Amino acid sequence: MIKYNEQNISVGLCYVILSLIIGECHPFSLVDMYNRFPEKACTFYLTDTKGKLLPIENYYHYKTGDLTHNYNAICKSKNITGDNHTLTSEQLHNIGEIMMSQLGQRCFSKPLANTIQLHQIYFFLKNDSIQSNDIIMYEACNE
Amino acid sequence: MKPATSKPENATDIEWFYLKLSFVFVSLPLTGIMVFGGSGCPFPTGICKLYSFAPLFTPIGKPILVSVFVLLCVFYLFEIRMLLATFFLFLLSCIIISHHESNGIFYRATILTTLWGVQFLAYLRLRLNPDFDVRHFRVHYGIQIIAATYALAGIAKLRASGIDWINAGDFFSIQVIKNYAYLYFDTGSETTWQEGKTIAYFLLNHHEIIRFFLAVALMLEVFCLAATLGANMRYVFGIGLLFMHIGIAFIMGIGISVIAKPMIVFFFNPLYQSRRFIIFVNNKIRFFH
Repeated sequence: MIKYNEQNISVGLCYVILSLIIGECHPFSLVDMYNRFPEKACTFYLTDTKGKLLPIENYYHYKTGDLTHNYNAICKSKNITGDNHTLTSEQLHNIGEIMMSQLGQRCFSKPLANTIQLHQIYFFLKNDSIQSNDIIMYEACNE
Repeated sequence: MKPATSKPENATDIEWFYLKLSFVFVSLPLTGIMVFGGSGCPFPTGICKLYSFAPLFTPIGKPILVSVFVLLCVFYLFEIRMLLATFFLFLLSCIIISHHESNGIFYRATILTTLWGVQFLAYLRLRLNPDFDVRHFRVHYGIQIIAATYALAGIAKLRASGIDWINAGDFFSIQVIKNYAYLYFDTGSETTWQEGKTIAYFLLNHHEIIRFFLAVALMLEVFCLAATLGANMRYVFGIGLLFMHIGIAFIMGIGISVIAKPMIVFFFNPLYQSRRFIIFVNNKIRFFH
């Protein structure tokens, strides 16, 4: 029978302490997913110019969640904070251009649309119901 | 203490082999997806801040990288050169996951690297001290690191929101609708979208249900290091965490997290338990015949 001693927990404790000190730097992580629930949540989607949804998995080796992570990474690299209420059209356009460029690298089947629109949609609560605010960030010609 | 050998000689070695097999089953496909899913290094993070490792992720480099990873897994499975195998598996996992995250994509697969790392630590300790109980600690270090990861998740919630995290109330429903929106925008499935809206509005009108589940989840995470204190505690926390992941997958529509699979492997070793069950049933059948 193994005696309970400091070895039973030391490696785990060390990892916790080192992660809290070092922060988010692989292989250390703060594991901060869903550590808070903000008032708004945003995501992205693609449509053609008539507003018909282009499901991402049908055309790209990518998911909507990856698009959201990508958006956050781009904003962080450009030191941009805020949402589609505070960012300028130009900022959103530039971010959208980078997102579509990176998405294009993972395309396995071209969408049947001459122009693809990248939308940013925010969900929020208003009058006890869930509302959304949708804008077109970027339009890309599907060459 | 007899050192670990390459042939299963006793129940512990057989148990260990099935655990390794399960862990390879869990980690190898995801590692392969991350190797082929990345392209360039636009947002360097982790070890990629020092060097991009671009040659490893070229059209020629990627298949070679995966082949080397598979070869190392074979060494690992058959207990060949374990110190080197676990070290290089740790190093490659670190590079692969850092490179993948440097594309701005986060699979939250940190646990895979740390599990390789602690197994390397166990064999390193055996090399430095032949009396080291590697049979126990090569598994127990894995349990510790998984429990530590969950504990970090709990600490992050307390640091960001305090105990008030469990009173997420309305804003939890926003997250639910967002996650189901992800699924809808991925697949175009109207059924999924309607399902998400139904769940979100149900939770909007039943805050007490959210509070209960969030409180249970927070307790499981914050106190998870207790799972290292023995088999019984491990099973209790394992079952609790399993239900938590299933609940998250259904309510929030985000699927089973990456950490859940190694947790099941190290906390329960289901492949080995299945083997034991089959042997038990076989013996019973033979007895009655």
